[in-house]
Amino acid sequence: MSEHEALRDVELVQRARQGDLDAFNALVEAYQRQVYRVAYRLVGDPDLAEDVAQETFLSAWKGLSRFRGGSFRAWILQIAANAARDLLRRQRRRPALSLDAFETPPPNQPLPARTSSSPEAAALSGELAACLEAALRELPEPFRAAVILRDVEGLTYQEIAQILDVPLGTVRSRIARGRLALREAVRRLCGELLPPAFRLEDEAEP
Amino acid sequence: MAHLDPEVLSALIDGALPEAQARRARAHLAACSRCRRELEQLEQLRTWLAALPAPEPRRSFTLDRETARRLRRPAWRPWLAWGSAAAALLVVALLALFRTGLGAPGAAPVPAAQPLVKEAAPMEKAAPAEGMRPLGTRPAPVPAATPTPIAEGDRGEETAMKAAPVQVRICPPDGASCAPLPPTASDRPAGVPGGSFLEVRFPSPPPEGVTVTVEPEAAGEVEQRRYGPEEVLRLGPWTDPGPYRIRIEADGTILELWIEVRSAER
Repeated sequence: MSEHEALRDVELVQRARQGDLDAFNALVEAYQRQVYRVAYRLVGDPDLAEDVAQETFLSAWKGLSRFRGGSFRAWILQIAANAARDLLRRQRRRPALSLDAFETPPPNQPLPARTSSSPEAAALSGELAACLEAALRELPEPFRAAVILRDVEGLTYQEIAQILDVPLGTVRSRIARGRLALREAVRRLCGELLPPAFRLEDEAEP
Repeated sequence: MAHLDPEVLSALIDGALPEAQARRARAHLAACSRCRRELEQLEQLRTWLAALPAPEPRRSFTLDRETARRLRRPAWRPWLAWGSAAAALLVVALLALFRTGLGAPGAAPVPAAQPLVKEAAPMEKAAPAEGMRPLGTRPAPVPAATPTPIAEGDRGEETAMKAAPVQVRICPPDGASCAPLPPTASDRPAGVPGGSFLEVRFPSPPPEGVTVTVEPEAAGEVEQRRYGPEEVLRLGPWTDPGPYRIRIEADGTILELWIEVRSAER
């Protein structure tokens, strides 16, 4: 995140705290895509991810007085990660999920489509991408969250520590263990799609 | 020669290793093809993940004016957040007056940080303060039969267990200097400054799993979270003032804490 963005956030938060809804909505617009992406990968369903994102911004507006400075992005993603975790927990407890508790105002204007195809994205085949997504979904929640925030979203260890509310050492170990678990899952699920170098098991070496 | 630990490899590709350690790791890599392959695979995985197509939301989540107004209505909240230091002093003053008026013994002023705690005392003591209720207190709690005193405190005689197996400390928001949580007394909660964290440190090896249940005494939802094997749990930040019951279950052992979150200093 650039320094310019950080300064912009500080100013917007200050105005939003005083009740300036336009300032708050500017923050929503700056972060809604990322909040949605993280929510989507945590809950694995587009409708639920939208519920989580909506819930995130509603609680952020309500609880803005609790924001104590630092990275607004990390703060808002922390709310999203907690909302996703709560939703998954409720879902486990009661499989027929009721979302009545969520306040979901009617959808407003759709987002303009964004053209984001990096050269890398082109290099990743659709089949392999789908297989990676499936492998990610197999990871236990704490590891999945750490790997998603680090490798998919490219956040720093500091930000991840704040979002997951754990010490830096825990972030480091969850990322490491998550990556190893993901590699195993990918080997198991994606077999043929992988380049030969990736399929090799670790054979003993002198 | 021992191969590189996966955690070291993983931190290395993130540039998250201290320089000296990174240098040692690179020297090992230069000589070890197996670790090199491990590193390449982790890097490959990372490149793929960074290239995953991004799912896009189908709508915007901006708030409309009506919703925004409805959600921000409770005017007492900012008052509680910003004004409670002053409010606390007022309660102290009123309490002192009230007790003096009744000729109650020990009418010495209550320390500023504790008026709400005093209010939360068991019924018989709280009775004269009935008039204070509108200031945001609640009916007196039933004191837990025996809240397990688990905190590692400096007032050892109040702590039943000699060598506390689990340490609980209060850490300020910046995490600079943590202090042991005062021992949990049976009739009042331990004070916790607003915005701070509770750090729960388990002895090694860490428990298989930990369940933390937080119950706000005043109002609000009971929250329960599960954690994997962790040596240190950081709970918080505790921002909403009020008393909370916290129950930490780890491998069949139950710890109960009772805290009173004070409003943050502004």
